[in-house]
Amino acid sequence: MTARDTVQRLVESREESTELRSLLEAGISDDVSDYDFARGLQTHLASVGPGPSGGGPAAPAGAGPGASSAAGATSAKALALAIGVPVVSAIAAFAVFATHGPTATGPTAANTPVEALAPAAREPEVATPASPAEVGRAFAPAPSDDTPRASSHAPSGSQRPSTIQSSKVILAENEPAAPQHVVGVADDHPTIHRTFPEGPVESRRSIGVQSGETAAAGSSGARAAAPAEAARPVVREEPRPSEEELARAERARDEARRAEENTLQREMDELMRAKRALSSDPKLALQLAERGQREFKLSLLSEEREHVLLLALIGVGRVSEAERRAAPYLASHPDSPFARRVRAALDARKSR
Amino acid sequence: MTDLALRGINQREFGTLLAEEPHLDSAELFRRHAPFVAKFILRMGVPRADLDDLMQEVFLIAHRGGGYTPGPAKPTTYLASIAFRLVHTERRKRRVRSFVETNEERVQDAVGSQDPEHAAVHRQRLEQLQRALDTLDEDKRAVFVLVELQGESVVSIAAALGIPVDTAHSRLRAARKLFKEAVARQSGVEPGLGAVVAEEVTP
Repeated sequence: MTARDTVQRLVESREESTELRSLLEAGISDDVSDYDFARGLQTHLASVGPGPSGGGPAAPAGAGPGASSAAGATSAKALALAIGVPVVSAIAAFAVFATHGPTATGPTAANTPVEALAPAAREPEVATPASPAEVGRAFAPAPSDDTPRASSHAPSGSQRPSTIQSSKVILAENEPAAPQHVVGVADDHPTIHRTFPEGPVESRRSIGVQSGETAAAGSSGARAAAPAEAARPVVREEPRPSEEELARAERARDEARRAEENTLQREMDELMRAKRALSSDPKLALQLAERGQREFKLSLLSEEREHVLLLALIGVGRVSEAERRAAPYLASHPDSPFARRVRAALDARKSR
Repeated sequence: MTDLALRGINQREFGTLLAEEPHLDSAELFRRHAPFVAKFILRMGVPRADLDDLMQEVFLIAHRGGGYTPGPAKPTTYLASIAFRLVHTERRKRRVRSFVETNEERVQDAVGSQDPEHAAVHRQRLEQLQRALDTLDEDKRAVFVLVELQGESVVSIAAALGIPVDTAHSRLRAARKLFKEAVARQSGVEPGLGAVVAEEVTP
């Protein structure tokens, strides 16, 4: 435990009211004993079947991509979603880069600006989340089969001073004094690991090598060369976000969430209006449903709204149009209760 | 370590997080941590009737992901992060279905097996707790529940949810403030609370 991680819980604080602590104690002591955990486990085992999880155990932390299991591949998909935006940017960079030299390599998360990574990783869909270690692996540079990458262990003669196009890495706070490896993309080298022997990094900082600077890569001999000295990185402090900034970010998120909730609420209200109008005024129901489909397009309520629209079409007597429009709907939702209602309404109208 | 830096986790903290946790497959995760997950799901406001479905989904996702692999998040917070995302999605679906359930029903079953007198008090407290938790948005609620009710560390929560440690602290502070205010309000309007609750759950 570190100081930042030591939090006194409210239930342990004598400064809090007895009532507040008793509520928390009720929550803490509630062991959900009414849930049948044994049956739950049986159900789970039945659904996953015998054998190891997820088509094989996850690769151990730190295992290279070459050792990835099927589970790792699954997680990689989730991660691909999570870091989609920066990867797309990186791929674009790669495409540009590939045109400049035969030894070009694919970009990695390590050379993607972290500011771009963070938001994309914020809110993945419910798709399989990656296990924590896999997240770590995904952010680590991934070797490419057909594109050799330079490293600090590469022969000293294999590299020469290069022009760094962009490079930015944020180092962890209080990292030990070990040399920091900064990964950059050079115009004529796939990936350059440059060492900055600056000692311990006392606070989070960003190391940027300005565009056009000449950097020596790889060996210590190269580092000692004059061009390398000229290419000392520009180190600038990136202070931790202040309380105010964090609060502002939270407020922005709250507002965005409220806006999203409001949209959903409005959509639900309109759908309810359309449903209520079905029996008394199918024409109005049709207008509302059509407007909803235009305005909200594909949403969680699309399926239900389409079913209202189809019933409204039947209600106003446009049966053949309803049949035509219902065909793909019934095919894509064959077992839904909405589909059953649409079928029943069509059958009833046809039997008249 | 870039991902750790992204989350504001330093090396020492990372070391403490990498406890002696082995790789755990989903069945082992269920055996060890199902009560933790069930409690988290309920405190996040999911109706009791949906608990089993969500429990199965959580561990199925863990299974598909290859189980728990040692990393910055503990097995518990790793599972909580899965449950958190499922709860978020489930809540949206529930709103779509106009599903409404009273707070009383939510805790009814949880206390059914206790002696009547104790059960009544416990039930009342759980109802009040749920109502106070309902005033928090999902993000703050998750951090609050994991820290205050389930004793998880902020750093581990941050690692599991993929947020900076400072953000997790910030959410906890905000959640505490709102929670205390909610409890105080409940105390102040206790006689008429039934009406307030009824209004909240009316579709």
